[in-house]
Parts: sequence; structure tokens; C-alpha cells
Amino acid sequence: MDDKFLYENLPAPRPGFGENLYARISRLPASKQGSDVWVLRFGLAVAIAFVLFFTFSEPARASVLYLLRHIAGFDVLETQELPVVDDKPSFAPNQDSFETGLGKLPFKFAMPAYVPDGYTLVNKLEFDDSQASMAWQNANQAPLWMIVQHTSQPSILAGQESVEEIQINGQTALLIRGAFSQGTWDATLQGITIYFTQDGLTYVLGQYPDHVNQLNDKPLITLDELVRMAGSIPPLKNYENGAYSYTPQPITEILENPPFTFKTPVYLPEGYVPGEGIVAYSKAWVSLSWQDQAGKLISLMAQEDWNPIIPAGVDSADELLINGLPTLIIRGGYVDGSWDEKMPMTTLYWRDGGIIYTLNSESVTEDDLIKIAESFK
Amino acid sequence: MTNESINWKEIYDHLFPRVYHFFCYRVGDRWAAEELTALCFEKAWTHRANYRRDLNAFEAWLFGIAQKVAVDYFRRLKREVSLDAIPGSLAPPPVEADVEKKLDFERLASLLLRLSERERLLIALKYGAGLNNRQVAVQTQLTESNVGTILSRVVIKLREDWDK
Repeated sequence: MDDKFLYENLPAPRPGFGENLYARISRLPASKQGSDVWVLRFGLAVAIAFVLFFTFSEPARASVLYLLRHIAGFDVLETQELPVVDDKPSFAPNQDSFETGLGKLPFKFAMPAYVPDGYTLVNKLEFDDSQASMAWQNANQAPLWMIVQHTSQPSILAGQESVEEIQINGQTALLIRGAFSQGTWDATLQGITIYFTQDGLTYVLGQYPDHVNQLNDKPLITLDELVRMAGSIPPLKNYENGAYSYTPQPITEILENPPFTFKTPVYLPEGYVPGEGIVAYSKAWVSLSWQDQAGKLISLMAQEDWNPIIPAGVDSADELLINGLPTLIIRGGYVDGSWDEKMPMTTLYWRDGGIIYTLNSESVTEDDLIKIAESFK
Repeated sequence: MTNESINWKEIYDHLFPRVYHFFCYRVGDRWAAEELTALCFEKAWTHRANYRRDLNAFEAWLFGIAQKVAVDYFRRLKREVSLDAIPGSLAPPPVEADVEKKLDFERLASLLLRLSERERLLIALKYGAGLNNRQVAVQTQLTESNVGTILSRVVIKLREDWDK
């Protein structure tokens, strides 16, 4: 392979740059980690006591702030090497199928509404009185796991320079990049872990390769996907037995900060004003409504494109063109599970820019609904 | 080996040009590469004592830090600078523009900008940082054979463009 040109054309650094840099970094204080890790090796309980002593002792605290950091509401102990602990692990879980385990759990938690494409929930829950652990897997068997802890916030061990604060739904959360491998922190491992608290619970989501060779070059999920998954966990008050409930908000608020870019109608029949809407926890769809004084609605759903199967009565569907876009029109609707072609409902479906729009109303004419659809921008 | 017996200056002299060259290929700008090299060593050097028993692990860790520094740099660049403001050496070359024939790093950097993110990273680790394919594989979570295949393809393409 004729690759000499890739070596020959590398520039030299400016004269003196390297020497000046070395002179500067040589003056930086050396890490005291060696002696602190030595202390930690005498047992985790001793280490926590040591850390707590330094945490509450003013003169000593200043000298170890680089070691124990408080980030996003979590205490993070940065260490390159895991302490050697002779005690049994604190999490000795029970194991059951997912639903059975949920029934035995003494606390409730919410499940994410969004899971990255290709991942399905493994039918297993590991749990004890204070925490539960579950995983999703894709075809490459790369596990994506979530732990929910119903205890006071844990102390988190992570490698140096691996921790940062991020935002999940406007709340601070902790992001860790890298993972421990055989007891030593490896910043090169493409693991990502997010910690955040909600409803008094600590949610931990993450993925990292168990071993380089196991995953080969199969891509792991991205940080955006993990953040979206974390952000799709609703408050407990909006989650019951696997069902999500929503608190409607004025659509003006939704349109100020939409979860994705979508179009809305410019034209509305006389008397209709903005009503309420819902944003899905998964951020995959938005539902909006406009209403008149009698409470009659025009409803719009905008969702990320996928391939829905739309149920409709026989001969109730037709196709037309709106703004040059193929549009499905369905006349009628289901009443008590049966199709009623006389139901004065008209629904329009169309795709535009990666979004599927569903526009329907029982209270405006078909011509008006088409006019509304034509005015989208 | 005790901490005192390690010649850290010698280790620095060995690693410094490799880190600098990694950033040269990674970001395509020698001045930014200097800044990022300094940042990388400032982050890493205070913790070198933890690797006194395994200097190979220190090298691997250092290049892991370098990758993160580069990622943060690109993220910052995206947030703070509009495309129009990016100096010519960083902006993607116009599709139909003739690449001026100059036998220097800037020309090579402009060719590298046409590569995908992953391809550029592999080139930076292999030819900038001087890692072998196995070390590149560890840094990037690819298999060694995958690294070899991708690099072979990319180098052939770069060579063709370089010779034009």
C-alpha cells in the first residue's frame, strides 16, 4: 500500500512549542490519586468513611475536590482503579420474568416510552427491595440496560475526566463516558451511562461493550438516542401498569418548543381557536387541537414517519393530491368497534418531509378540511 | 519500576509529536492541533503516575483522551461558528472546485475532509498517532481486519486524489 505520502506530509510543530508545553505541564500538581487509591483498597466501607471525612472537613476538602465531585446532584468518586472489596456484592438480585418481577417489586417506576430502533425488552427482571435491573437487546445482542434505585443516591465510581453534566427534560443529569475493564478505568471503551433522579428514584441507563471482540464493529447507540430514551421516562403520576397518561398543555406552548419540526395550518374556519395538545414522552408524535365555542374540534397529529396500517371501512378510503402530495382521505369512522360510513368524520393523512400528518374533524366540511390541509406551512 | 525511575521527559518526547500529528489529521488545521495537543497533555499529564506500572496503557489512555478532546472541539465548533466563518482549511471544499496542487499538509488536510468521520479518525490514529492496526482497533472498537480493510480502501482513494 503506497501510503508514504501520509507520513511525509505531516507538519512539524512550531519550534519550541513542544518544549514550552512540557515546561508548563511539568509544573502542574501531580495526582495524589496513588495514595488515595491505596486507602480505598482497604475496603469500600473505609473508603466511604474516608471520603465523608474529607467531605465534611474544610481544610482537607480543598485538597481532594478533584477526587470527589458533586455533579448533577450526584457524588462522583473519580478513580482509575476500582477498589478491591472482599465483601459480597451489595446487589444479590432475585430474578423473574419481567411482569412477574414487577409485581413483586416493593416500589414502582416508569418505563421509557422511546427505545432505539431494533432493541426489544428482555423478558427478565433482576431485583431486590431497593433496586431493579432490566435490559433491551438488539439483533447483535448488544445489551442496553436500565437500573432503577429506590435508595438514597449512590456514590458513583468513574474514571477521571469521564464525567459531565447534561440536561434531561430540563433537569440536570450525569453523563459518564467510558467504563471499567478488569478493574481499571478505560476511557477508550465506548460506553455511555446516564444517571438522573425523578420521583425520588435514581434511573441509570447505559450501554458499553463487554469486550471489544464480542461486538466487533457493530455500532452502539448514540448519546442522542440514550438521552432521548432517558427523557422519555415519564413522571410516575403519568405512568400506570405500562400505560402512559398525558397532561394536555396549550398548543401555543408546544409550538414554542416543539420536539421536532412540523407544519401547522395557517387557515382555520371562522370561530376556531388554538386549544390543547400533547407531546409524546418518546418525542415521536405531537397531538394538537383547535376548537370552536361549542367545543367542536379540529385535530392534528404529527408524527415521525413510519409505516402505519390505517384501519378504515370498506370503500371509505380515497386518494387525492394536496399541495402536490398524495393524500389519503377517509370518510366515516368507527362507532363501538363497527365502521359507520355515515359518521360525519373526515380524516386526511399525508407525508411531508419525514412527518406523517393526520388531520380530522367531525365538525367541518370536507372542503374546509382540505382547505386547512392546503394551508399548512 | 518506581515512579522515580521513569524518564517522563523521554516518554513525553516520544508521545508529543504523535499526539500533535493525530490532531493534525483529525482536525485538519495545524494551529488548532497545537491547541488541542496542549489541552490533551494538560488533561492527561497530572494522572500519569497511575500508569507507572503499565506505560502501554498510558499511551492508549492518552489517545483516548485525545479523541475526546477532538470530539469536544468539533462540538464547540458546531455551536460557536457558522460554516461561513470557518477558515478555508476547515470548511469542506466546494464539490467542483479545483484543488490547488501544493505538496504540503494543507492540501492533504482538504482531501481528508472529504472522508467520513470514521475514516478520518482511522487515518489520524494510524498515520498521525502512529498506532498499529491492532491498537487502532482497540481505540475504535473495530476488529483488526476491519481496520485494515477500511484503511486500505481509504488510502488507495487518497492516493488517487493526491496524484491528480
